[in-house]
Amino acid sequence: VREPGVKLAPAGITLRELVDEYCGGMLPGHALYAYLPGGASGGILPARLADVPLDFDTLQPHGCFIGSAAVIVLSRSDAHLDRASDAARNLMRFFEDESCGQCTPCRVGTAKAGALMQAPQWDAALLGELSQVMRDASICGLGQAAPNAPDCVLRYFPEELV
Amino acid sequence: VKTISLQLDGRTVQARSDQTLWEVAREQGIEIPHLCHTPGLEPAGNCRACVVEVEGERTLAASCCRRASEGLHVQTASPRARRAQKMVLELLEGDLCGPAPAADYIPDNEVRRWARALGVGPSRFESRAQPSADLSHPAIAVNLDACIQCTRCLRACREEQGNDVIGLAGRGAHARIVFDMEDALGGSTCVACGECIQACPTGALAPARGAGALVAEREVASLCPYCGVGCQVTYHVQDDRIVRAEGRDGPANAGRLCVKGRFGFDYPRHPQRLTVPLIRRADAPKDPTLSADPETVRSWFREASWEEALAAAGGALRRIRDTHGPKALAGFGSAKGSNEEAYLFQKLVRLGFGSNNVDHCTRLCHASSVAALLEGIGSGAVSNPVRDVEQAELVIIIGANPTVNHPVAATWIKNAVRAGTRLVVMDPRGSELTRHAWRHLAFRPDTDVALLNAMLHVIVEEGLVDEAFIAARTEGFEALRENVRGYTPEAMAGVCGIPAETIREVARAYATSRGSMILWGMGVSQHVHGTDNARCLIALALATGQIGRPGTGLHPLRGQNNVQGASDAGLIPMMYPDYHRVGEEEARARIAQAWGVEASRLDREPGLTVVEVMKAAADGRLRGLYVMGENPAMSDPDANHARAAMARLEMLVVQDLFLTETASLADVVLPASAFHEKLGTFTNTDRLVQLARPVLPLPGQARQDLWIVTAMARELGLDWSGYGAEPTDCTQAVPHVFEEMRRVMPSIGGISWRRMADAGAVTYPCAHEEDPGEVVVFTDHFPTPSGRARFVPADIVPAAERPDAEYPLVLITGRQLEHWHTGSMTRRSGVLDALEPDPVALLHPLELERLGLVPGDLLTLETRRGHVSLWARADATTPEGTVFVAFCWAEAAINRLTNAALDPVAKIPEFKYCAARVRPGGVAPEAGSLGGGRILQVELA
Repeated sequence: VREPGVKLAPAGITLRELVDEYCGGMLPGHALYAYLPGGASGGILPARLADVPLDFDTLQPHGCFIGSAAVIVLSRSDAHLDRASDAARNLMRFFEDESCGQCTPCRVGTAKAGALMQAPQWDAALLGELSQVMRDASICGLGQAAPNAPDCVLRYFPEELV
Repeated sequence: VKTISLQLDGRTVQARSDQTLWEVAREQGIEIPHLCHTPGLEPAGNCRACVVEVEGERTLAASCCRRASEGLHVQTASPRARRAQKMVLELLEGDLCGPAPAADYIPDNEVRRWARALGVGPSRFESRAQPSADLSHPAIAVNLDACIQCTRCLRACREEQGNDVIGLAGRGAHARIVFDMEDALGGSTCVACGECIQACPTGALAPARGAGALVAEREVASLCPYCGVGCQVTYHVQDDRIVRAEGRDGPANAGRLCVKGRFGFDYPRHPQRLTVPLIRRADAPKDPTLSADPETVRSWFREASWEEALAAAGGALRRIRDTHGPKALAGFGSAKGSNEEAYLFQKLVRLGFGSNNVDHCTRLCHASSVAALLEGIGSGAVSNPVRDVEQAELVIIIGANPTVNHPVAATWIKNAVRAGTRLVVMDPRGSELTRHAWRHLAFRPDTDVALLNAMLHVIVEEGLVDEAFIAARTEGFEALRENVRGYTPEAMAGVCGIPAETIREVARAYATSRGSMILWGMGVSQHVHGTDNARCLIALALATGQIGRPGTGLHPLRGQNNVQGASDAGLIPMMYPDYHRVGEEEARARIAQAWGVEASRLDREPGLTVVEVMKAAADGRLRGLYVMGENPAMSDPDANHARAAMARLEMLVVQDLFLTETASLADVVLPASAFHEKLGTFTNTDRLVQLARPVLPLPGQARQDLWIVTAMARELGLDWSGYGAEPTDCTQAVPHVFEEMRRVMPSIGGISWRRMADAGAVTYPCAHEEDPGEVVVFTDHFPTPSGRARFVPADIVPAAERPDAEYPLVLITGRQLEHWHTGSMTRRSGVLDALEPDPVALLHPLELERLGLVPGDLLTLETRRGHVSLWARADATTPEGTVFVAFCWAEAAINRLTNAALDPVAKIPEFKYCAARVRPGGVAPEAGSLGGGRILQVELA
């Protein structure tokens, strides 16, 4: 975006409005490709869902949440192609590093998920099983939300994985 | 706590509100997978293998730490719960040491067991990068490639044992088990209790050198052979060798063990084990200097048949008796033997030798405590079991180092402190327990009475006495009041080195707590004023009424695994079984009748005590001695004198497992049975009679001790064939002897052999078969003629030998964790000897500096009676001006230096105090053919 930074905006604003009205629009030559609505845990949404209101409980149907509302935008230009799967790999490394290591689903799950995500094609079935158990059985929100990003990639960006 | 109802897998069940869902399920017969949870440890809820589905909740719940509550709908095996349980197992199994069970360090890896049960595997995940093994410790192999980070080891180390060595370092996938500051286990402060091994579900921590992986052919439920705590043990046996020991859920140990109990079981199969009777060669004079190593000592003897050996031993004792009279003979029984052996041994001396010259190592440990207790409260045993510390508000440990000498008892004390009990350690030396103590009163050695009388002074003068208790339950209080009047804390502070205000504070806390308990050890008893020390402790309990209830009382921590039982059985020169004085006509008549002999056969006079026997032998008054399983050449004070005295004997018969230092002076050596090779009962420090079962067969021509005693009896003219003892099998005879003891000893009258065999553990006093046994005694009366306890005032008596310009240090002797008493067992145990291979003298770092020494230097320690050379070790818990040495080192036998001065009442020697000096250098101690850690090296080669 042209003007990144900390913005005070009303709850329920959409990503598109946020970029256009608060951030001066996308950088020249860049087109919105995807965005993280809520920090590392909040999942990744494609550009076509840039009109969903950003608020508590509005993102759940899309497999995401507003979390810290630290919004990150991925873009594409002639010179540059952001990939949601790369972002997800990076996020899983982050969670693997941030996991305190107390419980198995998070300690081992983030490491195993990260390893699975290194492949050009993901084992969607196994990753899906693992993701569900991390959500269900991790002690805290870190492990429970860690699979949001890869799940979103599988859901919204399958073409990146072929 | 209330009763609630909830839905569990579709059924309505009742539960208690303090139960976890896991516990409720288990009660209902539903097994939920679990790894990090194990009963006995605080639930951690980290592995998540036990997650269950609770209706209406977003996530699954760990059943091990989720409390049951009213109206919950819980599913333990719903598809969602099962999926999670299985995935957890798959994640963990994928990271295990190898793809198949063959790679495991223990036969029953719990991850694999649960994975199999739930049909998980093989894991679809790639394994993590594995850490390398840590094989630095002689007892415990650390293979963290099998670790699942469940922290069971950590909780066992911290919560159960209170050792605080194991930690969890790192984050995420780097979370790892560490020792201290991530030290190698062998270089850490680990005390090798092995609780972590027992707790580990995967063998990541396992017995070293592959012992954990061996599949046992048999498991035998028995006991630990070492200390008086009386831990129950399961021995795993393969090819007639014990491969592992595990704590069993006994009343005293609840599954816990220490380093000796867990790793010190291999000595019965040491290459030096005696398997043939030996007779001294005519050309081998007795060498009281004991300078030779065991292999040379062996060359002084020739092998003999059992017939020849028994005839030689028994014949000589018979001739001495018939020529020089019964008093020319004596016998030392053993507190390592069973009750049945102790009983028959004293019966043999009393009927076969014809005197009361029978004693054992109780004389050297708690004789003074027992003398004071019998005099004061009519019973020499403990009033409350160790585990009553959990109910006490304040606990005093005086003159004892339980983390070293009663390690499992110490764990209960540490647990109690964590739960809020105040611990007062009174000891010149510090210990591991001082770290847990509310107050450590490091008084000057030898000033026990000054300190304790000052406490009594505070209690009396400040009106903290329990008037009602004193009036109803005691006598002689006025004399005590008079006596302690002069012992103000202010006056005594200068004597004992403890500030008056601290004495007052501790005295008040002891007197006014809801329940105060005193436990003590040899630091109290082994003085010429040992009886006085114990009298003061008894007075403290009586004056404040801190006795006769749970969480109060007096507990002299018994040393040997059966010193309580051996004493009860009459292995003491002034008492028949059950502590009836030999001088009492009624007791004499009763025993004579029970034994079917004329009362005139029984000597009226008390016999000689251990140290008196040595004096009589030195004088030539005593000519024959039968020693069963004791090692006075190492354990007697002024051991040079004791060795010379034994060398003078016409006939010394030693019945033992090894050519001990005592056996090397013998004329006849009889190869005996090890603890693990026999059936018998053993009485622990809590008055708990427990059953030990045979684990191993006898090697070679070694024989059952009980049979040997009956065979010796036959040589001395007694026909004991009726007991049915067989040379290698006494499983018929032991019940016979036990039933006879039961008739003679009302204290165990309610314990039939059948009950013993069924229950495995019964506390006495136990009057009749329905009596559950009295765990806490003196609740309404004392077993004295008047039913009242008696105050016996004590005054300050100085040690027999005080430091002076020539010998400026105080020598304190005792024991150390890894070695047992004279070392005859533990120095032949691979792990234990490897852990502590060489003799050390403990000195304060500043004392070392003054002497110009650094740790590891050779030093020579001298007293007026002898000298030894050994290695210096810095130990800040040993006060300046003192030096501490354990008596387990044959190559530096510290009892050659100790003073044989006796307490006038109990005849216990002053092992805890004599004057000594240290000089740098000397001749390096050589361990001969045992010790020095070499057994393990032989084993590894």
